[in-house]
Amino acid sequence: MAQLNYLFKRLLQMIPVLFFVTVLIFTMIRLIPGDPARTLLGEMALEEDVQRLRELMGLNKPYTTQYFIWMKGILTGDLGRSLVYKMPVKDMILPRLRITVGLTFLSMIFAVILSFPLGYMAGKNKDKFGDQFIRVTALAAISMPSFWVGLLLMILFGVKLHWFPVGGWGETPAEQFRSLVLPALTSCLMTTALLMRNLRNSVVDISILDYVDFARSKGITETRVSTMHILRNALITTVTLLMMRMAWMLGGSVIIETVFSLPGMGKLMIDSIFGRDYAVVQVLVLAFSLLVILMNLITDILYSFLDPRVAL
Amino acid sequence: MKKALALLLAALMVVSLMAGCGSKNEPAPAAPATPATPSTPSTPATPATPATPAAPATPAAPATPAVEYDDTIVIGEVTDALYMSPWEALGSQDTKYQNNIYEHLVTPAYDGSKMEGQLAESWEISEDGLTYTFKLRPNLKFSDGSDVTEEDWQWSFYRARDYQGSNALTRSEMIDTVSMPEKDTLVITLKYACPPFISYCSSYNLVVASKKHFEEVGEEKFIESPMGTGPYFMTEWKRNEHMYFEANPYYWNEGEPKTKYLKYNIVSDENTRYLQLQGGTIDLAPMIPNTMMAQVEADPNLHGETFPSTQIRTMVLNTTIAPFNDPKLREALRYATDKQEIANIVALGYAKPVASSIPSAHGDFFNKNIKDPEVDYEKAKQMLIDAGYTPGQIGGVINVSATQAIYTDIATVLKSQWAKAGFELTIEPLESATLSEKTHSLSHQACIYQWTDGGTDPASLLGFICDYTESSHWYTGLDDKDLEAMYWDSQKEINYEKRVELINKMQEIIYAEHCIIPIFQADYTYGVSDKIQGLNVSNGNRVNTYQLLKTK
Repeated sequence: MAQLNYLFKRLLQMIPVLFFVTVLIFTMIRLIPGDPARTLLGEMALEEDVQRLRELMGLNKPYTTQYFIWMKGILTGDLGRSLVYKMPVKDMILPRLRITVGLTFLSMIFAVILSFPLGYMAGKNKDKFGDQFIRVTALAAISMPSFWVGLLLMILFGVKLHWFPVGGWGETPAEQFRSLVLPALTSCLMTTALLMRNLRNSVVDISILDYVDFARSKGITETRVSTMHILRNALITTVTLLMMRMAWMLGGSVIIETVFSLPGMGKLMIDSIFGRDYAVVQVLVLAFSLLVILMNLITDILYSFLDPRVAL
Repeated sequence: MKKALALLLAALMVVSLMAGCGSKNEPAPAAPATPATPSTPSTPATPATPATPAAPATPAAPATPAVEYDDTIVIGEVTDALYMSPWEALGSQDTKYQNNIYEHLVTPAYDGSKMEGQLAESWEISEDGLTYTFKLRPNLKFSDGSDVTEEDWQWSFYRARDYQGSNALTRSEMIDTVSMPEKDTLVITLKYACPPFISYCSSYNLVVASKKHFEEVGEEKFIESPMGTGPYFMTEWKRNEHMYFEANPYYWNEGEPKTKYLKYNIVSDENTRYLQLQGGTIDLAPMIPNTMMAQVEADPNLHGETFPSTQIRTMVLNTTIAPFNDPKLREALRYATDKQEIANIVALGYAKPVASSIPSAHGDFFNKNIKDPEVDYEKAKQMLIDAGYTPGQIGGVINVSATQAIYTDIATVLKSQWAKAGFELTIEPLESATLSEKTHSLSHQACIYQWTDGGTDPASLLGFICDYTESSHWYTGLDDKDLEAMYWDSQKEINYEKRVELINKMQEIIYAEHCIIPIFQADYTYGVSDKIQGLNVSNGNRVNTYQLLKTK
């Protein structure tokens, strides 16, 4: 019951936050220099064409009118029309959301598969060769630019070995999954390194605590001590970090999507900002804000499950 | 232990570096243009003839195997179309796809020297320039098999004239009536004489589309559901992913298109596009960066092809604010601008310096007498001193698009050249929309733009420059009423020789203003699989997809 109350309270708190975000993004995007009509028609646009298009786009209406039209649409499920693509924003975002969500989840799975065992091993073998090697590898992973890693992976696994496609998004589910493998591997590098180091440090810190020694002295098996006492406690901060990284990645990675030619949300966001596609930018920012708020909420709830001492 | 760790880290970094650089036969990420020895541009490719059928085997000699062709060609493009409707089209971003579907009455020859019939076999222009009579090809059909009727022609051309969402209205606003007084004869009358109209007839908004199809799908869906008389029809379009085309079974030109299916992959990163070309995922990469041509040529399965273009990179100087408001300073800097060096360094030899704003492909309209002075840095310096400046103590800012490296590269070379004359040029990259805003409001000092002319008449470019209300004299702020009057006269002048004389004179005036400075005319560079035959590209960047073949 207490958890439900907490959940309800947090959901209610979202409303003023999201309202504030709408005002902020509506204002900010219009403060950036550059006119949507002129940007769309290009640098060689004739002035009369620009003015005519501004009128068609509704950009000559007062700002307050434009804001209320947009908000009315949001509240009734109409996300508006893209100024650039002349199609409903909803139709643009949903296919891309699938790609970005797919990339994010696959990337997180790879990150967990790689970082958890390696981070735990590094922590349990503190300062030994294994620990040093894993830490250096993590440092190298953070240091390498993702676009460069992506290109190397494409050259090796795409061009030379033909194991995976060289960029692009497939047409069948199987092809689409294969299209995501190399981008997810590239994208997970930074997250893997961060999670590995975090888990390693947590394992090191927790391993020397009194209750771990006490557990061993009680005769509990080493496996149980490692999993239930060390790993479970170490995972608290690591899972929090994982959820935060996931929220960040759901915002879309422009670089990964550009290098691998994936039509995801990140690329759409950057193209829409450059193209001054107000309708799309506004909806995307609102969607990202909502996602971040929800991810924070899920993190807090998950935290309470991992650590019974934490009450919602 | 720490020493071993440091050594291991160093080794890891060295290995990573080596893996990244690769051997000379492996592709490397494209590097920005660096000073390089100029390479001789390739001669334009001539269309290859398809392989002749194998001769019957004689008892003495073995039979030669027939060449087998693939039924699909894949083209990798960096940008997707925005609209597949000709009246929403914004330019080459859309027309490179639309050209597979829609056709015009006439179209420029691939070398841009003249207009050729496309849907029209021939045409006549009345003496007063008000009536254009086209003899159409017989039995024209849309890709669904329906006949092209008078109603379709009228609806298409009136829509081109009246649709307010089009950015090409200036090329169709003069249309008065469209009719077919007899079979396969189309008559267009104009509200006023417009000599460039025959060139305008190749504009992307002046095509014939199916009125019935438009009414069936509705205006909104029509943007993504085109239907024309062209060699292909579109079967699928997933935005920013791919586009599929299939051969139009009702196409008027028997034997074309030569390949049944076309696929366009949208690959937004140039490095990835090159890898797809190398790996065989795509067969053709149009407009590949010049810096990648060497890699393409080095690959045993690829080759590069170049085609002359009408694309001119031009520097524009704002005459309304210092320092470029001084014509003497602008003229002095001409002597410090080495266009050949810029073309060599930036375009790696795939460009030639030009003096006139009008491309040479426009024949008589191109003023071949306009020549740039010999580069003379000392003379430039002296001219600045004579104008009252102290070399080393004058400077200005040039704004360039941050997203297109070629502009930054041009500005970088200019900076080093002008520095020799004592002028300090500061380069300020700006995002495209911000740059447009700045130049439109005339708050810039200098910038670099480009113009590509697709037709055979320079009217569009001259209109953009000379009609002050359109672009403030191409963002230079120079309001020359005499020049503008001359432009309007040229738009009405029916006598060809007089019109040529007017347009040549206008180029001399524009040149003497020293504020619109064309730098180079670049070739189109294409990365092509060795399996592809018959590639040709017009100087307006129209690809002959309907003539392409791919060997298996």
